[in-house]
Amino acid sequence: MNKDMKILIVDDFSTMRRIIKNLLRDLGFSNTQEADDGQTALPMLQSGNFDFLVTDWNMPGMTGIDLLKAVRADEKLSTLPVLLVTAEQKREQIVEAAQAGVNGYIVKPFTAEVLKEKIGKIFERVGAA
Amino acid sequence: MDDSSGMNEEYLEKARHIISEVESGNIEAADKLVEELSRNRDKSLFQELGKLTREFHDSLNNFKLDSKLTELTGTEIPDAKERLKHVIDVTDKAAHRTMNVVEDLLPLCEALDGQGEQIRTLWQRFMKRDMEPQEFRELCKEIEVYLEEQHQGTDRVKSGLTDILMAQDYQDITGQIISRVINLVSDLEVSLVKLIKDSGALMEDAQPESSNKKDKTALEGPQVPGLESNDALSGQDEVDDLLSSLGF
Repeated sequence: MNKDMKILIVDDFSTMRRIIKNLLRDLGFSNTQEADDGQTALPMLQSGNFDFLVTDWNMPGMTGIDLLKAVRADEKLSTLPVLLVTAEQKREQIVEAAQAGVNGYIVKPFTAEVLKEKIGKIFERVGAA
Repeated sequence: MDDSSGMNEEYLEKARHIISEVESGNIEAADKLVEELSRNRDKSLFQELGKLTREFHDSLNNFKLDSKLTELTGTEIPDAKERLKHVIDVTDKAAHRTMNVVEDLLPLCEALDGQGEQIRTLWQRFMKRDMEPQEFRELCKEIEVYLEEQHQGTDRVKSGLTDILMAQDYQDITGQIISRVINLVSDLEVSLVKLIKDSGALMEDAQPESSNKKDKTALEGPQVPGLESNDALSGQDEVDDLLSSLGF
């Protein structure tokens, strides 16, 4: 796994962005940028050569699931690994996210270990594919 | 009851009167009596209607006086919204204040740890007598510098920890604000229940749209203990199980 990979963190709460950023840095990923919703994130993704997207679901403007769908629909971004980190934990939502092509799903509140494990799994699979 | 039995007496008497007038051939007088009777009936009808109108008017006025609804919706709910926004602000500030300290102190700890490790390696060599006297003198100087930095660093960690401690005062403030909003919601509930009772007949027809029609895909946010959705999963493990059943 490339520790220099460029990661976009999308969450409407700056505290959560900061927590994720710190946890990622602890895991050795310090090349991160932030956006506060899907609308801000999408143009950044389209022009920024990101390697990984970590996004919340429930955000004003554009939600994380819509961002995921937009990413999958975009020719250049369609294979970008996406990790949802969200407080939503209803069966329908998780199924919807899976159908939309999410690569990992973490429910808040979460621990550093869970984040580490999911990121590891995602890139194991991406690497194998 | 007294009223109606009085009325009955009156009716009976008038009716007997009419019969006796008819029997004695006084049709004109009988007609007059019939007219009187019907006038009496109309009068009591209007009296009843008047009474109802007054009661309706009074209850409307009373409702206005009793009801806190106007006050609740006019000022207290907008107030509560402001208060809850304040809760977001206060918790946001506390979280950032805490993270500022952590982000400040983590590199300090790492630096001290690095220096300590370096000294430990040299110290081990010294214990194994694998060190020239000149090198040992340098080690002593390094240890002195390290002890001083360790001391200053510990001071910074202590003051940082105190700062983190103080940042937790948001719990008291937000707890009080949220309690007040809970009270407000209870007041609103009482007023609304009263409104529904007072307009009971009207409300019976207007059954609430069945709540099981709730949009299944609507976002619910964090689950609250005791109020979990039926179809919400309880944490990461169940989410992982579901995902792996979907082929993840």
